[in-house]
Amino acid sequence: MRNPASLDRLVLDHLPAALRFATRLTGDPDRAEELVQEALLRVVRRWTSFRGEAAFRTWFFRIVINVFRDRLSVTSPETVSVDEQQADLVDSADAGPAQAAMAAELARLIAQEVSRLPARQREVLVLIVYEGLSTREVAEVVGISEGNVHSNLSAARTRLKARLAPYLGSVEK
Amino acid sequence: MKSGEHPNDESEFDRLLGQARWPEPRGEQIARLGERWQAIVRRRRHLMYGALAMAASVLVVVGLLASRDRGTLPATIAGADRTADTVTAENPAVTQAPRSTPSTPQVAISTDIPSKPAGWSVESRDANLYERVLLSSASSRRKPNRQQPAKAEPDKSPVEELVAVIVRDPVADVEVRLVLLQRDLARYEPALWDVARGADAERRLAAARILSRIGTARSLSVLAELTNDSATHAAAILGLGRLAGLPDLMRLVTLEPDAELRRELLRMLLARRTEESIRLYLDFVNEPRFRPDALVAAATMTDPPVDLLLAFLESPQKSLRLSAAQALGRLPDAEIAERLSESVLRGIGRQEALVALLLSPTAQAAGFLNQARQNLYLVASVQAAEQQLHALTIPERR
Repeated sequence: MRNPASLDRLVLDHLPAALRFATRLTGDPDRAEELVQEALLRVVRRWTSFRGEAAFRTWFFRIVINVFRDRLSVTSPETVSVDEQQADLVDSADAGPAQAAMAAELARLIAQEVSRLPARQREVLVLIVYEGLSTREVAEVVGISEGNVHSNLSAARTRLKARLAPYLGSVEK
Repeated sequence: MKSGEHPNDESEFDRLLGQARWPEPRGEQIARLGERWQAIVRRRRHLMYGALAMAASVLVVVGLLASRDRGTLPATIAGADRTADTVTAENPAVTQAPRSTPSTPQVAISTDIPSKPAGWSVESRDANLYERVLLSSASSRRKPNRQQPAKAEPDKSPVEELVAVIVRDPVADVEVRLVLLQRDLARYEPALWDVARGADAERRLAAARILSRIGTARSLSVLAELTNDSATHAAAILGLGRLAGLPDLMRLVTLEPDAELRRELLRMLLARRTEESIRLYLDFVNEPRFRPDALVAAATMTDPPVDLLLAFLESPQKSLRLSAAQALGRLPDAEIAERLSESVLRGIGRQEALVALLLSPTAQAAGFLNQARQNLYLVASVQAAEQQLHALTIPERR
């Protein structure tokens, strides 16, 4: 797969998916757009290393993740303390207007909490839960072992359960 | 869990996480990235060509220097450095004229062709670097032989590419390509018309789908033609619905025999989000023949114009108020039920808001109605709304 025309087609076809993925990683559409822009530059530089059309999405996502990590290391990561987040959740839960509005709010809050997970856990969770990749694919994209994928996934779930506990209780009621 | 297995199915919690909603990528974001990508590719291509040109120049210079060192430069170039004496010495056939005018040496060239040395042939010497560059350059510029048909180059225009993508995979995500094509549609729209009028049914359908999404008013006549073709009818109708004015859109709804297409056209009417378009939509709700489709259209819309429909609960026309109530009542949204409850409590379009709540499938509506039936001030209104709803449904039952 060294044909520039094929690469052009593949990138255009996968651009919306890459942008959605970047939005899920960053939690911010504008930052996601910047991230994908930089990823596109790297795609051009590295496309000769890409082999085979089937894995293009995985290859493209890997580049997006690399840019995401590089940006995290340059800019200050979002460090919101757990206590602070719990306080936010409890307050907003108490002040919730109605059960119905809570469900919609929950969807937004889950997204927000996922985007606040530590980078590695966030990458693994987003790739598995939202992008539907298998553990093997995730291991390849993130560059870790499959065992590590499982432990990161488990840690992400545990953390999210703790953070979303006040909301989950209110929805179940 | 086995390697490569997808662990999502195992977790109830993951299903809950699946409800998370991030902002969807905006069309302009995707378009900007698409343009950025194309700019990157163009710049890369220019850099590549520049580097190739530079490499070729270096090769030429290196070749020239090497030839000069070996004394094998072609006569036209080497002649500048050679005196008449050296020419005579190298080639006895060339005789030098008397040096009467030393400033301008006259060289007389014999017409006799010097005999070739024994064993001489065309392949006797390898082409030097410079000659190879010249040869490759000449061969790349050589015009195709007109006697032989030139190889048919595939048309790489954006229209052809997009049509090919849709033909290959009808559900492919072509948003970026559509946005990019739309940027220069004046140039490409006629090409789409050609494809839409072509013989290939799959390509015709692809063109109809593209025109349906991004075609301008210039494509109206083509889309109208395509409605006669069963393969392209649906796409063409949706395109017409997007481009048509309100009266034409109404006509399309009334003439369309396919229920699903009718509903889509009604959704388009709602999506215009003007007071006039909502009024026309409510006329369809009021018309028993179109009521079921109109109500399903609103109920299945992603983002129905709730505020406008709520505003019609206060219309001076009873038919509009009741139609709005029926449409709102079919929306399976708890927040709308909350707003209808507020309208009842504030006395704003109370009767119709209660009709809507009676129709609402939400638990919030049921809860509110239970409370209202036990409230002395509201119980009579609820009963009146129930009677009104009963009267409304009689024509449907017939």
